[in-house]
Amino acid sequence: MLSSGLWRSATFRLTLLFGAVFATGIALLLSLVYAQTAGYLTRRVDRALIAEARLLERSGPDFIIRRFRQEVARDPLNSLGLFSASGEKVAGDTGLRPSDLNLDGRPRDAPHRPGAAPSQALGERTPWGEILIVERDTRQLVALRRIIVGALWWSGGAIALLGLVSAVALSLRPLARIAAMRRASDAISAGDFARRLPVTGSGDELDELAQITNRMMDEAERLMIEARTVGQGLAHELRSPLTRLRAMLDHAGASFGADDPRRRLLENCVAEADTLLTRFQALLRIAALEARGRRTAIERVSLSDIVEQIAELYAPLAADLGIELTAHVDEGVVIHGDGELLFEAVSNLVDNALKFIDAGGHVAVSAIRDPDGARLEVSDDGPGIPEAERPLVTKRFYRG
Amino acid sequence: MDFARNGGVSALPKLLTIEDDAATAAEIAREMSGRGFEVDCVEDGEEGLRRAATNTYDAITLDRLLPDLDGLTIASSLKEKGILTPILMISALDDVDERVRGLRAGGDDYLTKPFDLKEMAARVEVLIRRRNADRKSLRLEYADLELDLVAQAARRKGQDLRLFPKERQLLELFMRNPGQVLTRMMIFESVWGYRFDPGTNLIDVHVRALRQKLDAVDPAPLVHTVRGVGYCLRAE
Repeated sequence: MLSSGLWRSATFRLTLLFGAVFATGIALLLSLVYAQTAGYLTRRVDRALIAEARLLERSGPDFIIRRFRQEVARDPLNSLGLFSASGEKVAGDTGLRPSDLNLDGRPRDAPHRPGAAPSQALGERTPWGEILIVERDTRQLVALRRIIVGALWWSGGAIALLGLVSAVALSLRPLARIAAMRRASDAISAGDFARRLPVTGSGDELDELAQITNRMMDEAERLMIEARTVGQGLAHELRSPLTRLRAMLDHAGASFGADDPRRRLLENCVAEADTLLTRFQALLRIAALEARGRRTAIERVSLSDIVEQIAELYAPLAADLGIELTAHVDEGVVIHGDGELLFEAVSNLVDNALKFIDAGGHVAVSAIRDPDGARLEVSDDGPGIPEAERPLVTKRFYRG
Repeated sequence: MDFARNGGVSALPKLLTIEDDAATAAEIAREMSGRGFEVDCVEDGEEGLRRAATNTYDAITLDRLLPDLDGLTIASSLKEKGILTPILMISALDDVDERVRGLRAGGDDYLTKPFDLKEMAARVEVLIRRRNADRKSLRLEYADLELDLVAQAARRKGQDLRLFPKERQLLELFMRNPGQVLTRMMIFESVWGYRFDPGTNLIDVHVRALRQKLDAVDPAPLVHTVRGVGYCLRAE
C-alpha cells in the first residue's frame, strides 16, 4: 500500500528524477576532468618520448650508448632499449621487445606485461638501421585514472542513495496528508457534509488544493441546506394559510343543510385540503428527521415489542379490509436503535402493504432472532415492487 | 377586558394566550371565545408571566419562541412559583427533543405550529378537565358505563364488555373526558404513546371496534363522530 503509493507519489518521482540528473551531471563533470587531465598527461608523455628519441638519434650510432646511461640516470622514469636490425638487444633497460611495438615512431600504450609497471612507449628504426625503443613509466597516469573512476562510482552511488532516501523522506509527509484527505473525503461522501479536508497552514500546493476543495464544499453545503430549507420553509409557510383555508371551508360547509349539494362540494374541498396538509406534514417530517440526523436517540429497543404493538395497532384495520395480518415474534429480540423512528418506519411499511393488496391477501410482520443479530420483516402476497423500481423506493418522495 | 376580576367568581373559564404573532393570537381568541372562554391575549413574555402569576386563569397557551422571555423560562418560573395552571406549549419547532424540553420545563402539552384550531381547543379543554378531575380514581362511571381499572373490567348496563387492552385504554380516555371532543392525534398519543400521523382510518377502526362492542349491549350511541375533528363520548 505504502510502497505503491510511494512510487505513484509525484514528490518521490520528482526527487528521484532530480537525483538521476544530478548524478549524470557529476559523472559528466568527472569524465571531462578525467579526459582533460589524462589527455594532457598522455600528450606530455608523448612529447617527452618523441623528444627523447630525437635526442638519442641525434647522438648517432657511436655515442648513443653513452647517452643512454646519462638519460637513464637523469630520469628514472624513462627506460631505453637499442636493438640490432634483426631484433637482438644491444643495450638499455627496457623490458619491451621490438616485436611488442609498431616501429613507426609514434608513442602509444605499451602492451601489458605481468610484473611490469604500465607504460607508454615509442619504437622506431634509427637512420643507421638499428631499432630504438623509448619507454616511460605511466603509473601516475593510471593511478589518476583509477582515482577519478573511483570518485565517479562513489559519488554516483552516494548521490543515488541520498536521492532515494530524500525522495522517500520528502514523500512520506505529503503521502500522510493525502491519506488524511482521503479519510476526510470518504467521510464526506458517506454523508458527513460538515467535514472538511485538513489544512496544515503551511500554504503549500496541497493546502491550496484542500482550501479550494473546502470552499467548494462550503458552497455545496450551503446550496444543499438552502434547497432543503426552501422546501421546508415552503411547506411551513403554506401550511398556515392552508390550515386556515381548511377551517373556513369546514365552517362554510357546516352552514348548509345536510342535503344541500353545496355542502357536499365543500366537504370534498376539505378532503382535498386534508390531503395537501398530509403531504406537507410528510415533507416537514422528513426535514425534521434529517435535522435530527446523527443525534437520534439510540437506545436498547425490543423489536419484539415493536412488532407486537404494530400487529395490535393494525389488526382492526386489516380485519376491516379483509386482509389477514399475522405477526411472528421471537422472544426478546433486542437491538440498539431509535424506538420511535423504528415504530414509525414499520408502521409505514405495514400501512403500505395494507394499502396495496386486495381483500383476501395476507401481510406478515416478524421480528426474528438471526445468527447475525436481528431481522425485521414485513411481507405480503400482493404484487410487490417491480424489480426495476426497487432501488428507487428508498429515495425521497418516490411514488410507484 | 376587565383583568382585575377574580376568576373564581366568573362563570366563564378563562384562558391566557401568550403569543407574539397577532394573527395566531386572534385566531385562538376567536376559536376559544366561540367555545365560551374568556380570552386574554398578551404579546410579550414579561407581561404574560406577570398575568399568569395572578393565578386567575384556567389554562394558558404559551408560544415557545417569544421576543423577550423564552416560553420555556415562563413555564418553569410558573411551576417554581407553585402555579399549576395547565400550559399548552405552542411552537414552530417540530422536533422530539424540543417537545421533551417543553414538557420538562413545565408545559402540560405541546402543539406544533401551524395547528388546527379545533385540535388546539380540544387540547386546552382536556388539560383543564384533567386538572380538575381526580386522576387517581380507579373506578370510572359515565351514564350506563362502568370501568374498573383494578379488575380491568368494563360494563355497560351491568353487562360485561369483553375488551382488548387497547380498547379498554381507549374507553378510559373517553370516560375521563366525557363530552369532550378528542382528536385522532390526541387518541393516538394517549393510547399508543406515539406522536406521528398514523393515517386517517387507523384510529377510526379502533374507535369503531369499541363502539360496536358498546352498541352490542344497547344501540343508544355513546361514542359520537365529530366530523373533521375526532370523537366524543356523550350520552344523549
